[in-house]
Amino acid sequence: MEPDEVRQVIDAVLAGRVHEFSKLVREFGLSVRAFVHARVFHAEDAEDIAQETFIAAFRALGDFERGREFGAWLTGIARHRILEHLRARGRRLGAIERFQNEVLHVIETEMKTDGPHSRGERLEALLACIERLPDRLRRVVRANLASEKITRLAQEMRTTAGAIYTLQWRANRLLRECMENEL
Amino acid sequence: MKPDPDLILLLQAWSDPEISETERARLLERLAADAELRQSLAEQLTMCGALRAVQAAEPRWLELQDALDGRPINHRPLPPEDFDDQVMSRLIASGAPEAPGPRWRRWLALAAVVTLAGGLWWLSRGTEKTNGPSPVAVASVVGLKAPEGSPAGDRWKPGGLLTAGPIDLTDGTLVIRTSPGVELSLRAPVRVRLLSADEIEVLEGNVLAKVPVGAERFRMHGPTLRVEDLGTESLSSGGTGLSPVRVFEGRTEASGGSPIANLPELAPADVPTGLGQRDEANHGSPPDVETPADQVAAGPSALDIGSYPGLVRSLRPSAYWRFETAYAGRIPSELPEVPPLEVIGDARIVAVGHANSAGELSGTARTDAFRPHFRPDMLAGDFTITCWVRPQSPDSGVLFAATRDDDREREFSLVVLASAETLSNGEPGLRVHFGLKRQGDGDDAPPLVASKLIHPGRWHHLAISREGGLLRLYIDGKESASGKGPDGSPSFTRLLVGRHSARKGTSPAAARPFTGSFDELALFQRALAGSTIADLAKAAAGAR
Repeated sequence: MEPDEVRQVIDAVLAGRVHEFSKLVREFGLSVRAFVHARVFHAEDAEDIAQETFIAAFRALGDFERGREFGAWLTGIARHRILEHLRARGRRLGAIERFQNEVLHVIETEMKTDGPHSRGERLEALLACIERLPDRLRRVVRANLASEKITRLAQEMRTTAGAIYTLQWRANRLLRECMENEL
Repeated sequence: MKPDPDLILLLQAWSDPEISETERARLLERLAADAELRQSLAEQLTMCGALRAVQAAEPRWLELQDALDGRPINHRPLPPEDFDDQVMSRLIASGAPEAPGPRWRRWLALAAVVTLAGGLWWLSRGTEKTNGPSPVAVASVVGLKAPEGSPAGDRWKPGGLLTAGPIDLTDGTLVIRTSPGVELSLRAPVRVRLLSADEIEVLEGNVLAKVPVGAERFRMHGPTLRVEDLGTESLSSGGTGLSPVRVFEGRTEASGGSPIANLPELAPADVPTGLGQRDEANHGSPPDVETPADQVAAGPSALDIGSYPGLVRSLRPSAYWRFETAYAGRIPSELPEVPPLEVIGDARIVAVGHANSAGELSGTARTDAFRPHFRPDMLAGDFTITCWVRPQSPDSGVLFAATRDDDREREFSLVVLASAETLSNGEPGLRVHFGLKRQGDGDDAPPLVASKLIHPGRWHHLAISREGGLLRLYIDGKESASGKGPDGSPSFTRLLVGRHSARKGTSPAAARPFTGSFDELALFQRALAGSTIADLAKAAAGAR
């Protein structure tokens, strides 16, 4: 969606045609979800935060500064929501979440770098790249790095959890290369 | 090229609780000192986030939907110009076809079965058409098991691509795989309609579905039921006109297909006393009397919390549902022996189960790890909860707990529990407590304590209600306690049955799960009159 189209949709929503906002959800939903999923451990929490991001954006749409990049504005809201989520969980954060929080703090600058794979429409191309992976790597990628699944997957593939993470690393590298070639 | 071992460890530590604190601290230190490692990790995490998002099923953002104009939101991005049918076809074709073979037996234990009788319904649907077909292939044929010479063999060749549309199979068993990887087995005679890569409408016959990791939220529609897989190994549904669901492992959601407007208000006259002849010796068998799916009626139904922890919530006020027979003990591995779980109306049942192995539930639920779609109006203001309950043991346990999913307005707590007592004659009993508290009220709002005990092995009718500031507790149709409740309007989004969420502030004793059976659980967004509750208890008492 070109910036002009985004502006037209925003104008339509502000004029009362609220369902037009779903066009923005469709355009930016995947990239916002990817952004949140990269930073939030529990998939359910990530999906909730992604939804809250769009609700907040919808309610604050009148404050959106014209000329600004809408995706970046959404990302800013998402980042704020993630921080709120972490604050709300406070001491109930588990060891893994605390660790993730600290890691994200350390690599904040690097995470801000926008890669070519974070564009919503191009994330779809990732699907094609996944299918080009060797079977073993594709299987790991489809497990989505959830701990319980990794353990089960390691058993199924008759290997160790550590080896699964190495396979994940390889798969991610290949996917990145594939997407750069595709795009 | 080999990866930096610490990068692999960082990826592992990202999700693996086994990594020690010491190791985590070392990794953080290394990360802070190494820019290259930071960049590599950022790239890996960004890719992992993209993979999780792109591989997850389409979300259903009901709260956002409500904030807009209530119409469903289509999340699928418009495909770029070069993302055409060929790409999709390539995706599907790349999956290695696998002919049905010995795995069938495993499937019977692990995979999902949907049996939805729909012949009449099919006729009644006529030429009604919904959800326009996708122009792209959504599935491919894995194989057909059919008698030699069957004409179906020519049509359903392995590797053949399927677009959205009807499938009518008269011979054999057809196995297809959707693009996200869901394997569907269609047993003739069967009539289905593929709506998309993650949605199928079962019009007639039997369908088995295996939903792998990454294909969560695959949906199956039927005449009276919608089944949504939330990442289970398997789920199943079967029946003749009633659309029951069988859950073997993992999580599923099932919601009734009948609009709530078509359901009659639950009133004593609607509860036929002739139904629900419970046969204790044959507990778990299908009901003797079939009830039309859109009729609210009492039937022989129970949810055995002891072996099948459940989480129930309603999508709509005054929805009514029932659990069709109990999961007593282990779930048998053979499909036909598994008792069904039935949903009626527009209520939704979320069942959470975990299998240690095929067909065996462990008896623990991870409700905390599962956050269903947010609905702020499930229990708010005045309400009534009624059910039949039969304790299995004289042990204390939580009957209900209402909670909120979010942290924003967790102001009220609702807990109904049964505490163990012994009568003067030595007979064990359980005393029901109903507490609805507002945070900060402390001991100023003691729970209601029933004047009458309930007993292990016996069915008791239980009801709690809130009307304005007044709380009431009924046992077997009679008011057993009443008292003032907290000020304000309590609001909950989730009702846990047979257990507490065990969140902070809950003592271990209060969080102990209830062992026993529930039947005919119903929610009302209003306070029922005492006479209505008495009639409800009386109407179905004969069945117990």
